[in-house]
Amino acid sequence: MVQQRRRLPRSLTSEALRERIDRMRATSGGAQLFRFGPYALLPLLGAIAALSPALLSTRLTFLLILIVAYLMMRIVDNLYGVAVLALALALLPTAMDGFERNIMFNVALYTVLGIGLNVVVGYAGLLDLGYVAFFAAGAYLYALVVAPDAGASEWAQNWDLGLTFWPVLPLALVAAALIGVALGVPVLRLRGDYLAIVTLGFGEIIRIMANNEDYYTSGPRGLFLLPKPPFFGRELDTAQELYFVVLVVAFVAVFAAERIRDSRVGRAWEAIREDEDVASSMGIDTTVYKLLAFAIGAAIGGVGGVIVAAKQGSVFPTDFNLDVSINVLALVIIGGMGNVRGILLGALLVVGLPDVLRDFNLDLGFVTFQNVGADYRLVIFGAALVAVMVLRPEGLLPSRRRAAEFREAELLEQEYAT
Amino acid sequence: MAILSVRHVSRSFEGLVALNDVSIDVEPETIVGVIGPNGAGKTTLFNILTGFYRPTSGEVWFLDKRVDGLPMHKIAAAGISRTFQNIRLFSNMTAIENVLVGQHLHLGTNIATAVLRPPATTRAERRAVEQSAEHLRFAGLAGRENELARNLAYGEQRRLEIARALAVRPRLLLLDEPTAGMNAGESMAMMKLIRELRDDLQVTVILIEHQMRVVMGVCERISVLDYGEKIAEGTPSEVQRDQRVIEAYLGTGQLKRQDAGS
Repeated sequence: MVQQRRRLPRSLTSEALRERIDRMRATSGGAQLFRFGPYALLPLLGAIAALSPALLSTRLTFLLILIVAYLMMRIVDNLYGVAVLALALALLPTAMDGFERNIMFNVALYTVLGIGLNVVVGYAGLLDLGYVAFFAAGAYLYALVVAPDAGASEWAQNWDLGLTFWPVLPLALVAAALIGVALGVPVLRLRGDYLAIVTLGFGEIIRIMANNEDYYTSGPRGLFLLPKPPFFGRELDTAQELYFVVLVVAFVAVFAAERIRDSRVGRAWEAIREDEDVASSMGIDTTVYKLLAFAIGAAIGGVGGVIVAAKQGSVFPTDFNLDVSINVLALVIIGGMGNVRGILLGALLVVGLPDVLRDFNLDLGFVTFQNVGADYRLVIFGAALVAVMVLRPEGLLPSRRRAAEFREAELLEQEYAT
Repeated sequence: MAILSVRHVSRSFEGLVALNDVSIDVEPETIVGVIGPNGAGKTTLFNILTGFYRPTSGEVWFLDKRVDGLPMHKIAAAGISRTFQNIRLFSNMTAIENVLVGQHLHLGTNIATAVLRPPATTRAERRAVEQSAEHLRFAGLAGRENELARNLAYGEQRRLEIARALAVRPRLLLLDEPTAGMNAGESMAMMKLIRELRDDLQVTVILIEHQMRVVMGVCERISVLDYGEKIAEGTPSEVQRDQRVIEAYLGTGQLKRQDAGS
């Protein structure tokens, strides 16, 4: 048996290690200079937000904020940087019009979804292309249990459960987690491409079920007139209020995901991702931990579904196309897999940018292109994605580990080339 | 009383017999060598002991418990841990994180305690980090805690594998070619470490090894495999004199005469 035979020098205690890691982080990339960067950037963000209606087009504000957020997150790679960003995000909608608030809501919502998918793909290394399934499950659960008679399916009319938004949130969490496990069990043995294809199919099955199970879901007619979340005697019905709800959920998800990642559970996932056989020879029950990753990812997706159903006040099968899964995966990859800050940035880019580009006009002085944005926004967006992937294949803000993996792959390629 | 008892174990792969009726008993706190030419079935034996393969027939008993056919993580929990012939570290994790993964069975953190972090969890985590640092120190890797595993030198990687295996707190440690690719000096240091494993930590060690200097220098008992069969067993000096072992390694006299004649 291994016993502690010698006293441990202080230089090896966990605090000392953590300090050393912190110091390494602080000294990397010239970050020393910018130690107080976030403090300086906060008023800058505030100034942009406050001045924007007067001086700048608000779309331009959004782009500026995107750039500032990116710089800030590159400089401060810790939770506290995210906290500063949170404050900025919380202040933001006050300086925006309804259209932009909707964009911000979507960005925050997709951040939540990204965090959930990142648990599955980024932490545990299981490529899931059917993430929309859990999102749909949450949304339909909400629609079924809160629906008033007018917009409800036959089933919901027969079973008036009289629940409201808040109790449904934890309910959806649990239900989606169970669905996650149900999907996980048959695909446990699959890896890589095969796993991706099966999960892809699963996402489609859920959508098709929503389309065909008329008795429960009203099929393509959808469920509508769903109530908004009640809040101390009134309803949260503006985009801004719901944006705050999803922002809070996002931060709880970030908090939970980061803490799980830094625990025994997160290490077990990492070990599985690196080498599954070796992980189990270290005593890790890989079956349990893979299912756990599916369950947690699904649970977060389910919560996202509830929120979006409440916001829209309706659910239709077409809300749960393959696009959703692809977008979430894209934002996780582009932002930088495994890194929560990267996910936030990815959501800004993948979800926010296409809409921001809508009313972008190009004025070259001698000639003006009207509606460049509206007509070509997806082309611009696509080009931006390609550029990111070519120039920074590890994503804009990869986790340290992810960056290491990419360097490893590159080195291997060079070795083969020579 | 043997800590490990391999009883009439056979394993075949689609007709190819990798192990044929092999029986080995290992006494507690001994250092046992498994040697044999390439393809003799040494690593197959290790893979059966750790649950990577099931034996086609036969039984494996460890600490009076039958372990053959158990999943790998259960065998690790029973107290068998291993290193790999071709180093298989978690290469993008740091040295100490590798060892912390090995501590998995000795931490109780679940989702709830990971998120809420009650003081007991924080304490357990800190203890695990300290213990992991101690394992690294034991394996001669003090000061390398925060290095990514793949940036470690080759010999250090072999040592890190041992540190990681130790973190499982095994009663039996299987080392698959611990000195492969090492020069004489590094091999000597590894032999010292293997002896310390047994002397200081009371771990029983089975090692597969090709360097005869290491095998003869560190092992107290040796089992020799050839074409999946155990052809000899005994102390190093007994094995060295064994006619069948000499034949397995050098060929038979018959062949030699033919060579001379041609």
